[in-house]
Amino acid sequence: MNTTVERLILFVAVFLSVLYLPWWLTLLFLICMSYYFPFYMEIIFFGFIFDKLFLASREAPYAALALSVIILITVSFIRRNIRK
Amino acid sequence: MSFLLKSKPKSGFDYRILLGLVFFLVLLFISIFFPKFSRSISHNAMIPLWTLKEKSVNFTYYIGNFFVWKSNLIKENSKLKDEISVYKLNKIDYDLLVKENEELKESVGRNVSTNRTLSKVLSKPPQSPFDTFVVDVGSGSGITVGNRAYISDTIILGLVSETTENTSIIKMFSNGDQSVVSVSSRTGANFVLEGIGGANFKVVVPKETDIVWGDSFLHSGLKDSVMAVVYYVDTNSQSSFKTVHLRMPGNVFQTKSVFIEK
Repeated sequence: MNTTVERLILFVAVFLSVLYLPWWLTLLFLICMSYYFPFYMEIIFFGFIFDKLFLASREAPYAALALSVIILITVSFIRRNIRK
Repeated sequence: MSFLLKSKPKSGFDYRILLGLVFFLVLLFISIFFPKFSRSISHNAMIPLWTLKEKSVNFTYYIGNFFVWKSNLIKENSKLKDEISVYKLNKIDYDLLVKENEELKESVGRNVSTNRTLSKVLSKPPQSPFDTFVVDVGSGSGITVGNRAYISDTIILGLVSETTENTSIIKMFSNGDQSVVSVSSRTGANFVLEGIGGANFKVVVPKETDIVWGDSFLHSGLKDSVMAVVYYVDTNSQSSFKTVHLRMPGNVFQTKSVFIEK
């Protein structure tokens, strides 16, 4: 399958999982996705959505967005340094 | 003879990183400068999907329960009928006590009238990682930040933390970063309960403190609201303190509607 189409389908799947599945399962999916695809930028969008939909804390208003960036950087770094 | 490595890293700048950085900065900019607007857009876009979820989940629930033994259904039915008759009697007692309580409060000049709005739960844990509920009433219905949310007449859930035109976010008292003052219904002593997520609380107290299994803790306020019930007391013989574990009464995460007190 074309990578773009694959990415699009999985984007919809993860998007639905944000709405319907437990947060920890979505987090696991996102980590897997960011390992599977090179530089999975969509994770930043999902972090943003998490913040907007569920986060009520005024103390750390961008927690999920920050976490998504940390995951993206960490997983991309690991991915780069692992030989396939 | 030398061979080039197949996975030799390419040199040069990866433009995807720049794109990612720009994307992140744009979303951060929206979050910082248009927090209400972006939350409102997100919630309004999700309301149809959350409603759809409710309908589809009910549908699958009925499919799952279609294949049940008839004998099991008969047993369950008779058990439920017995339970209902007991609850009906309890309800009569409860109504009498509530009425008496309200009359007593009125006689000492305390205003007991409340203005509550019923709201449907759109999203709740475990979808949300922050012990928050999203409900379908917002500032358009007169809900403001700080309003109390109840799951029944007396069981308090938390406070409204954010509102949009059509939705609100309720932050439960059990949220991980919260500590809330509570009163023991039996002894009247005050304690600071620490939220640990998943509708759970804990409090560390000296061993001699009078807290036992089943004690109810009330939220301080005009109307008594039950916040948590003790389900486990962890006492260590080597420590002079004990850890009391509490939980919100009832199954909070099964609730489909919430009352918001204005």
